[in-house]
Amino acid sequence: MQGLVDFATAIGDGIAVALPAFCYLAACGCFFFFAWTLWTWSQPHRHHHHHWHKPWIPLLSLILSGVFASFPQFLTMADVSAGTSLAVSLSSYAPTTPPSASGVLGTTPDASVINVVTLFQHFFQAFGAACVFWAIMTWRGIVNGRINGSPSACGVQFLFGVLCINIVTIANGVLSFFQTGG
Amino acid sequence: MKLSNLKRRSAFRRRFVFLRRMVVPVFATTLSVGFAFAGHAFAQATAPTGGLGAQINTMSSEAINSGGEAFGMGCYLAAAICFGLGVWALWQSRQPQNRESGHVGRGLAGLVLCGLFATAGVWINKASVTASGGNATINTTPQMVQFGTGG
Repeated sequence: MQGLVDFATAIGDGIAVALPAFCYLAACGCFFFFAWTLWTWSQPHRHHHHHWHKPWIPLLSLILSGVFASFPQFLTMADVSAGTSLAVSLSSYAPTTPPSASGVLGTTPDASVINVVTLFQHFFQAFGAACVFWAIMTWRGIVNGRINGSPSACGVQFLFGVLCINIVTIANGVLSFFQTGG
Repeated sequence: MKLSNLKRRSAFRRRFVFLRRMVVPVFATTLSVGFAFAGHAFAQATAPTGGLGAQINTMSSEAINSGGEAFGMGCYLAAAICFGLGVWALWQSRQPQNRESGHVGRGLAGLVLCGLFATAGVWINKASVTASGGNATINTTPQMVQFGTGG
């Protein structure tokens, strides 16, 4: 069990480290798309461009470049909306100490579930943040008409990511539905 | 070949196929048991050094550096192109045959977009303030997302 916790924590570390790099590249790409689309629109012979009838497309990319450039603040706002006060920030890389898996079995079944969720919390949080990032990227691709898909499915993925970030609160909430009286 | 020999050979093949099908499950079971024992044997609760995170941190650093350089180069070239084509469009707009074809707007757009590309970082920061109420925090330094307490 401890080996699995160590491995999951290492994977979570990898995701948490790769995510700012992806955000940086996505912010740069979105800004470049915004400015270059405006330039192509200014060409008289390019008014048949397929984004010409959707003037919000480049502005949306500009806003999304801001979202990616300040992604931790955006995640913090999403956490506040989800009802928790979990703050997301950036720091230089330091390996995360995996929690000890000894005593994972609690006195009650629901305590055991919470213990297991807490053991893998770092992985869930990093994975949830990556889900939010990917949901936004997919939604942008759909709105731009580059890929086929459902915008509402991106909303579900976004919600799933936020719930994963707040997994311990969610697990406690779910378990509270299954409390049985003595 | 005799019929009895053929029957013996096909029966042997059937047994061999059965054994061959067993190889994958047996191998997987052995591997998983081995992992379980290894996980138990190498159990640790200290921060590991040289793990996956450290390697991906190195890769992120390289990706950010190369991506940032490429973005800076792209913005520089785009600003130069927009300026040149904008000035050229304004020049062309003064030619008698181009008076009605939108060259003035194209020239003005080129000059404005030249400034936009040349100050890309400032505009991304403005977009960050609009999107999340704070300055841009993600930059060319490889960093790690940290989650606070309360999740």
